[in-house]
Amino acid sequence: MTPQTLLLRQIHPNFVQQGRVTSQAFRPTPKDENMLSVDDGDRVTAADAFVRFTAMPNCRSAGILAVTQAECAEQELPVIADGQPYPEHCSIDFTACTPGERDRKAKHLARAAQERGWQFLA
Amino acid sequence: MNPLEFLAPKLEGERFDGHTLPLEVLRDFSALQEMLVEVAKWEFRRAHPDRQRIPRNFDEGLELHLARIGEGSAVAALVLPLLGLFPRENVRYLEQARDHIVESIAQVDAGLPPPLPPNLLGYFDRFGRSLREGEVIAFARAGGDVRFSPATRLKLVKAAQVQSWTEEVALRGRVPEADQLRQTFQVLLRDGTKLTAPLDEQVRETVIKAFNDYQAGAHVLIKGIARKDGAINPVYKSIESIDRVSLLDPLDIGLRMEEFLGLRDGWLDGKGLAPPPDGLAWLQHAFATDYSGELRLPYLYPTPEGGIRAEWSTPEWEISLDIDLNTHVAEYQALNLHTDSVEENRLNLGSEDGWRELDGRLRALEGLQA
Repeated sequence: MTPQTLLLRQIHPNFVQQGRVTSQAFRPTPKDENMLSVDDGDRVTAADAFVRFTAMPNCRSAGILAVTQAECAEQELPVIADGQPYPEHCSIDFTACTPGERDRKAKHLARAAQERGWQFLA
Repeated sequence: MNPLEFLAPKLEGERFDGHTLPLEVLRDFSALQEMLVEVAKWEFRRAHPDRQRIPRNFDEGLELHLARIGEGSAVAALVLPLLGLFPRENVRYLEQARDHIVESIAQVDAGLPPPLPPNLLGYFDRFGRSLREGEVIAFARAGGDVRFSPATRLKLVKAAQVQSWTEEVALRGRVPEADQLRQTFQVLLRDGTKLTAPLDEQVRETVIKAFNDYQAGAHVLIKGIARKDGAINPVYKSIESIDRVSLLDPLDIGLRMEEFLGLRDGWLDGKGLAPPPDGLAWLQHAFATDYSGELRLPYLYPTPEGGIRAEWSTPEWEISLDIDLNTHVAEYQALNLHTDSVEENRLNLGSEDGWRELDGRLRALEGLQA
């Protein structure tokens, strides 16, 4: 993984209104143990990541946005290539953040991702 | 001659708190007058079973007048001026009619059969039609007030044994079809229901604009009278008349709330609580009454916890408001993307002060005057 590696994030359809994506899409919940699931864009295409995700039960996606590893580093968010539950899976680690910090960092990531544009659109 | 104090229904509900009556409610009283005349004729026939016809001038000059609006929510003082040709001896039939109408409401509300026959109960299709959920018309009578609510009205309409009835509605939908030859258009509701509506001259321009912008997602809000039928699960069948049509802002709050009403627990990939319907109704009402029309509408999203998140973006700022629909408390955060500075606050949106504070903060960030 390099600083420019795209980290692919599935965007739920209810997190899109008139083409705009909520920054919640880049904010993990306590139920996610404050780890945000993404895919390593160097190892899987956005189209393939979309197909794999939406093949799972109850999983819906409007498309895929992406942030870079460098943008995460700028927010002091470690990116862990955990390879679980599949080899390309990574987690952006928010565990050291307070709720307010989570929100603030998610806003930065969401703005960067939306300025980059959709990597895949359903 | 002094007018006869005839009826003083008390209207209860938020719309009547200022001791005023919305004009649309006056249409209900106009329907009540028609009902009173027909019930009075029925009373006359019962009193004179040997008479073939109602006297020719039975209701000549009969007009109820709204004399004043008294306090205590809004009390509509309806009087009978007793002017002109109206035969004085007919007053007693009108008074009997009034008492039977009020008694019919009381009986139906108590789950008993109403004294009026079905054809006369049919007038309740129009009397009470403008009442909204939570509103009541109370009639004083010996033995306790009689309370006439939208639910009571529906029972009376059903007791009239009609197949369908009308309701005042505010419906949001799209316009996929317009037929200029037949002077009608189709409204497509969110649940897929398609209703035919009259393409009246005064709404034509707006309807055609919505029709032309159908593919772009244009929605309209239609206020008017819709026909409904169905014994168990009533559904809208058509729009009978239209008061007004307006094109909706793409971020219209009500439109978004209709989408949220369709969410079920587990909406977020098997997780995520559905927002409570009464909380959505509260938020829609609060935005309509407490959020300035000068401010841009927010983008709205459901939260996994069953709340709603409002967001505003400017080139410099990202602003969010996480709203708890149960407590009406909201967490506000404004992030300056250039300086990374953050403003955070907890707002009580259950109070005007909370909305006023939100207004002030948004105006400051948008560069609007307070």
